[in-house]
Amino acid sequence: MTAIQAPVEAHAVRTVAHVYHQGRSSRRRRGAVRVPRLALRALAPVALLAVWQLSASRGWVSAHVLPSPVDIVRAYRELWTTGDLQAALPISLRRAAVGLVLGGGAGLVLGVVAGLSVAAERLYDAPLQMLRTIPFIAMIPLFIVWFGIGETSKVALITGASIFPVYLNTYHGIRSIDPKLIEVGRTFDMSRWETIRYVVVPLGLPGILVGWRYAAGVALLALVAAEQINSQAGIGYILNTANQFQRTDIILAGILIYAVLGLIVDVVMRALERLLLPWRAGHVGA
Amino acid sequence: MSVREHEASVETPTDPQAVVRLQGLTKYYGPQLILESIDLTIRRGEFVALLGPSGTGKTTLLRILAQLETASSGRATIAEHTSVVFQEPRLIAAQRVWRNVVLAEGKGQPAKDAALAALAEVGLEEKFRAWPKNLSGGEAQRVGLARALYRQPDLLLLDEPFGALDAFTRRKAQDLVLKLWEEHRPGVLLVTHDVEESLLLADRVIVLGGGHIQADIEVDIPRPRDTTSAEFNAIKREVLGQLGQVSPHVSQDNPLHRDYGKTS
Repeated sequence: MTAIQAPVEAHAVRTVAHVYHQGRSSRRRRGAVRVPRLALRALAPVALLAVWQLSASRGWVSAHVLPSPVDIVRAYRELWTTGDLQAALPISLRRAAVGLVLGGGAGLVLGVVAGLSVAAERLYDAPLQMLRTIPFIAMIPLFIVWFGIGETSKVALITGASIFPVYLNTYHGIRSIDPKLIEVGRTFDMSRWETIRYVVVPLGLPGILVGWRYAAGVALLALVAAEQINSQAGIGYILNTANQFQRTDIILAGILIYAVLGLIVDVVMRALERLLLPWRAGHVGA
Repeated sequence: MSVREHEASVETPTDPQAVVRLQGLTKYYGPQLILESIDLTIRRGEFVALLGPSGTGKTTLLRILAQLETASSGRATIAEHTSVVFQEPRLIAAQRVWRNVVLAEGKGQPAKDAALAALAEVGLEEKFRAWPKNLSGGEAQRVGLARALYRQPDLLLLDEPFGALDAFTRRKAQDLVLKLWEEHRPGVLLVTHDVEESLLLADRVIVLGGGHIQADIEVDIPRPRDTTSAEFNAIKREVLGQLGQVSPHVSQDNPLHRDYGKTS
């Protein structure tokens, strides 16, 4: 009772032929319009700006509510000719920088020590994690009681806000180093200090720099919040004064300065990362 | 040659050429016996392979010799100048190749020149400024070898250094290790689970099983060795036979195991 097998038909294999004649590295499809990448990226902001200017000049929105881009450029010119802008910028930048260096420095030391020592981590990681959950803006009333309404409370607020990003990222950066690489130090008779210098710090640096980048952003945020407290100088002072005189154009100009500062900080920090971490770049070393 | 004593008393006259001398070396992890009373001497210029299935304490023994771990009891005399090549290259990604060779040992131009010389020996002098991530697996492992050589070790410990390489690269790396050993004549302990590799390279093959030395087989074949020759295969059969007898667990006359048996 053998099963009857169907005869195997020798049918032709169906194939699809591909013929290539595009030449080297041509990804362009026939008929596709090539739009320069930059132009495409600029399209949305430029369109937004155009609609904004149009709605202001056509009178759809009152200049008091939303001054036109041209009004804001005029506001900058006014701030520049009166010398207010040149006076305010260094003051604000100094506040942010001092707070960032103090807070970031403290976060760096705490993070490195906690990353290297389990005892240190047990000692202060939990309280720091608890402090971290407090939104720093909520501390403003307390800081005013403690440090008054002058410069001290402003710098203290920026300092407090800058500690945690650096602390957390430094600590994680060091803790995520492969223990096998720490072992290399022991294998080749390196002292603890040499292991830190040749293994821990170079490999922890990416985390440390991410921490500083976040901290720089947070310091700027803290600056904005701090400058709301009775500012006698700085960009916050310009904003407060403009507020009293209902100068929406100057308020918007001030807000944009904060935005540009944030952008510059980010660009600078990224450039710093590229400079200090050449081993992470894509190119092949010589 | 300077040697580090791990227990002060000297009972037997020591061989001045010995780079490793273990006497009754025993290692427990908690209650588990890993190495049981190991006696082993490796002399300078001797190439020893340590063979055994995984979990028999090969790597533990190597880590004790590298002083990454301490034994529970017994005595170990180990050459002071000892270098290790691990299974993974273990290069510091943030340091250039030649800095990975030097690490903290030596400064300035002399250190750099010595590192370049070590890299030249493994055929990588042109890559001295490269970052580790731009190296292939075989190249990275050769940098690990250069890093070990740079320290002019009396004892070279190799922990399955060819395990992660493809067959072709592994063969070239084995030849390189042999060449470097013939030039520098350190004592070598190669941990491996590849029988053929151990017979291709070593003077002595030690089979570790059940936490103790099951067999210590001399490989008396002139180099370069032919893996297809009759004498090679005779020794291979002997080693495989020894490996076949290895029990995966520590021997049953271990007092701790007997205690376990009687608890119920």
